[in-house]
Amino acid sequence: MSVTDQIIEAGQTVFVVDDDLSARESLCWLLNTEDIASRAFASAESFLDHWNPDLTGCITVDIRMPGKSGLQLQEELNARHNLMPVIVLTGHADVPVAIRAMKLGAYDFLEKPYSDDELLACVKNALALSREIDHAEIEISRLARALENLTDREREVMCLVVEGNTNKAIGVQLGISEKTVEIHRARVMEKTAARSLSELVRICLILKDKI
Amino acid sequence: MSIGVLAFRGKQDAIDRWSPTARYLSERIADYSFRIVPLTLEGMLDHVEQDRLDFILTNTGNYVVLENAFGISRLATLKVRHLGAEFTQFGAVIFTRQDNTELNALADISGYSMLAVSEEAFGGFQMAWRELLEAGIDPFEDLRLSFGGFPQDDIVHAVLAGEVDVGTVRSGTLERMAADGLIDIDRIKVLGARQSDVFPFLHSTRLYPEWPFAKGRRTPEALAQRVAVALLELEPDSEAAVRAFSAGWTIPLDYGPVHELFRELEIGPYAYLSKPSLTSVWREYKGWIIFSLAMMLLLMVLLILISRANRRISQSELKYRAEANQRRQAQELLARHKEELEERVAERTAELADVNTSLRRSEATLRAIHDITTNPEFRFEDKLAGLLREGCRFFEMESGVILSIDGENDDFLARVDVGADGEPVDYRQLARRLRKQIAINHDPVAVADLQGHCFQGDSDVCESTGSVLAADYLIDDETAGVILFASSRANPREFSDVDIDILQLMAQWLGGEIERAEINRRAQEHQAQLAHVSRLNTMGEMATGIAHELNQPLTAILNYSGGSLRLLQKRGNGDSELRQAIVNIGNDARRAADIIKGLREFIQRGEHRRERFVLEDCIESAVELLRPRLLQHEIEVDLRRVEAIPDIVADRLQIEQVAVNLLINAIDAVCAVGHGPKKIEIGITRTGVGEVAVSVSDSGDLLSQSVIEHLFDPFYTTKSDGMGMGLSISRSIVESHGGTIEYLVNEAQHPAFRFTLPVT
Repeated sequence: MSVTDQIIEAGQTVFVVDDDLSARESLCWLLNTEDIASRAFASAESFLDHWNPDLTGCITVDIRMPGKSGLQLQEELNARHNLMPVIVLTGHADVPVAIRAMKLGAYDFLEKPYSDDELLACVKNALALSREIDHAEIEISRLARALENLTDREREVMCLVVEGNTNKAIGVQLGISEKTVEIHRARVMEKTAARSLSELVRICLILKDKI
Repeated sequence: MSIGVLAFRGKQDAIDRWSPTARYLSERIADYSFRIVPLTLEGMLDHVEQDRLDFILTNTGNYVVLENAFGISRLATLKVRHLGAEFTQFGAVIFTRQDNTELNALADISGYSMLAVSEEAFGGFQMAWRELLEAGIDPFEDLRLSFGGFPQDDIVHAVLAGEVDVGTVRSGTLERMAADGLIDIDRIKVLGARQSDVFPFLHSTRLYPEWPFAKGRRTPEALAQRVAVALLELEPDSEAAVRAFSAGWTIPLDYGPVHELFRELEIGPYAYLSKPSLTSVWREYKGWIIFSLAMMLLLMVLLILISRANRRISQSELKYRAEANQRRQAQELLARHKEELEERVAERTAELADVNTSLRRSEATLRAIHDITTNPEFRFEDKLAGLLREGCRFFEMESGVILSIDGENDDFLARVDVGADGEPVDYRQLARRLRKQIAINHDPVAVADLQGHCFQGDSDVCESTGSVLAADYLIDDETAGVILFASSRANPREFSDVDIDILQLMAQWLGGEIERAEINRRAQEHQAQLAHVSRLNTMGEMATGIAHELNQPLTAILNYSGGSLRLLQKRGNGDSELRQAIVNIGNDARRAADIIKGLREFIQRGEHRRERFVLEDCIESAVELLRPRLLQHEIEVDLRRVEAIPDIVADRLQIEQVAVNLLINAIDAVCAVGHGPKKIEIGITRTGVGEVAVSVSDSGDLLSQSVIEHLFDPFYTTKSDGMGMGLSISRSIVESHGGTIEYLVNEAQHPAFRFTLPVT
C-alpha cells in the first residue's frame, strides 16, 4: 500500500491538494514519518469530488494550479460549509494573495519551500483544532437532539427562563401555576443535561437558531 | 510605394520574380500598396536620381554606386537559395582546365587569354579584376582579355573546350552545372582558391554580400522600419521567397568590402581616382577629341568670314551718322515735353511696383511658411527655426525669437540670428516688456524705428534703438508666449498691414502647433511608460514563473531531507556522517530557494504607484493605444458602462496593461475566425459592495477545455509568436490589487475575460 493511499479509518487525515507530483508525494511521505495519515489530490476538482461533510482532518492546498486555483477551492469549500482547517501553501508569497486567502478563512499560509518543522507544527495544530471543532460539533448535535425532545410548553418555559424571568412571572405570563413552571423547568434541565442556569443560557446561545 | 527592381533578365522575369514580394509587403503593411518597377541599369540611375522610387532592389555593385551617389540605404540582405542551401554572400571563381600544367596560381596567367562576362559585371569580372590586380596582373594590359556576356555557362564551356586559357564566373555556377550534368567538375582547376567555413562553393575572390533591399533617401524612416521588419519576417517557404529564388531576408550585411573593391579598381563611385593617361584619355574620349578638332576648324573659317563683313559695315556707318545728328535735334525737343509726362507716369508705376513687389514677396513668404509648417520630415524645432528664418528674411530683421512665457518663467523655444552686427539685443528683456503692451488686447507691436518711441506703461523701452515686431501666441485663449523679431538698427522700411498679417499668421500657427506638440509629447510619454511597465511585468512574471517551477522540486527535496532526519532519529540510527550529509542537502536546497527569492525580489522591487482615477478613462486609453490595429482589422469596439462607477485607487498603468493584454488577445481571437462581423465588447459594471468588474468579450471562437486549463500559466501560449506571458502577467497584476480574473462564456455565448478590482 503506497503512502498516498493511506486513510486511517475513523482517524484524521491530511488532504494534500497540489498539482505538482513530487511536491505532493514528498509531503505525504514527510507526514508519514510522523505517523500522520494523508491523501493526495492532483487538482482542486478531484478533491471536491471526494469531499463530504464527514471527512475529518485538515487540508493543504497550493494556490497556483491549473483549473480551479487554491483560492477558488477555498471559496467552494466555504460554500459547502467545510469545517476542516485549510493550510495554504504557495510558491510565491505575495501579500495581496495571502490577504485573500486569509479573508477566505485560511488557517495558515506557508511559503514554499517551507521547513519541515514549520509545516509539521502547523499541520499538528490544525489537526488539534479540527478535533476541537469535531467535539464541538458532536456536542452541538447532542444538544440539538436534546432540544428536539422538549415539548412545546417546556421550550416556551426554557426561553422565558433564559430571558431572566422568575418562575412566578413565567406562570403569570403562560397562565399556569408557579409549581407547574418549576416542574417544566426541572425537566428542561434534565433533558439538556445543563447543570446550572448559566449553562442553559450558553446552550441556548449556541443553538439559538434551532429553537 | 514603388520598388525599383534591376531587371537583369528582362522586365517580365523581374515582375515574375518580385511581384509576390510586393504583394506580401502590401498585405503586411496594409496602409500602403507596393508595386514593382522593373528597370535597366540606366533606368535605375535616372529613377533614383529623380527620387521616383521609394525602395530599391538591385545588385550589390549597383547598390553601392547608388548609395554613394544618391544616399539610398539598405534595409535587408537577400538570402539566396542555391543548390538547397541559403547564402547571403557570393564571390567569383577564376579557373582553368585541370590538364593545364602551366597555370597553377593567379600570378601564372600573365600573357594568357581570359574570358569574363563584361567590364561592368560585378561577379562576372570586377571581383576577379580586384584579385588579379593584387596578384600583380592588370587584366587590361597583361592578359588577352575578352568579354562574352551572359549566360556564364558559355565561359565554362569555352575554357573546357580550350578556346580560352582562363575564365571567371560567379561562384556556384560550376557546382550548378556539375549538378545538372553539364560538366565534369574534376576537369576544372581553380586558381587562387580560397577556403571558407560558411561558403561551400569554389571561389577565388573575397566574398561580398548578396542583393540588398534599400530605401530611397526621401522614404520615411518609420515606413522603412516596417518594411525591414516585414522582410525579416518573410517565411523562407513563402511564395514571395520561393519565387525570388531566395529563403527570405536577413539583417543587412556590411557593404564596405564592395566600396573597397570599387576604390581599388577606381571604378563606380571612385572613377575619379583613375588618373587619366594619354592612352586612356584617347580610349575614353576618342569621339570627343575628333569632334572638338572639327569644331575648331569650323570656327576659324567663320571668323574669317565675319571680319570681312565687318569692314563693309563700318564704311556705310559714317554715312548714316550725319543723318542721325539732324534727327536727334528734333527728337530732343519732343523728348523734353514727353519727359514731364513720363516722370509722372514713372512715379505712379513705382508706387504700383512697390505694392506689386510687396504682394509677390508676401505670397512667396506665405508659401514658404506653408512649406515649412506642413513638411512632415521637419521636427518641431526645425519648423520653429524655419519659421523664424523666413520671418527675418521677410521683415528684414536681424534676429527672431520665440519665447514661451508661463507666469514669471520664460524659456526660449527657438532663436535665429541672421547677421546681427550692431549692439546685441536682450530679447528676453524686450519680449517680457512688450508682452505687457501686447497682452492688453493681443495687438501685435510693429515699430520700424524705436528711437523716441514709447510704449504704453513702460518707459524703459524708449531708450532702446532699432526696430521690433512682436505678437503673442495663445493656447486656450491665454497668452502663452511671444514671437518677436528685432534688429539693433532702424528697419529700412515702415511695417505695413501685410507685415502684421503675416506676423499674426505665424503667431496663430505657433499657438496651435505648440498645443499639438504638447499633446503628442504627452501621448508618447504615456506609451513609453506603458512599454516600460510592460517590460518590467514580463520580467517579473518570468521570474515568478521560474521561481514557482523551481520551488516545487526544492519543496520536495526539503520534505525528503527533513523526513529522512526524522526517520534516522526515530530508528536510533547514529550514523553522524550520513546525518550531516542529509542536513547539508536541506541547507543547500534552502540556499537555492533564497537565491530564487532574492532574484524575484530584485526584479519586482518596483512598488505599485497607487493613484485615484476613473476606470473608464483608463480602459479608453488602452483602446486608443490599439486603435491602429483595430482599424487595420476593421474591428468594432463597444465600450459600455451601465451605471455610475466609483473611482479606483490602483496603479493606473498596470491596470491599463491588463486591459491592453486582454484587448490584444481579443483582437487575435476575432482575426483568427476570418468571417462574420468582428466585434469586441468591453463592459464596466459594479458587481457588489466595494467591487467593480471589467469584462472583455469578443466574437471569436470559444476556448477548448485543454486551453482553459492552462490559460493563466506562464509561458503557455496558443500563438505562434506569443510568449505566453500576457494573461499570466494580467493575473499577477489583478491579484496584487486584490482582485480576480477569470475566463467565462457570457450570455451571448461569446468568450469573455473578466477582472474585478476592489473600490476602496
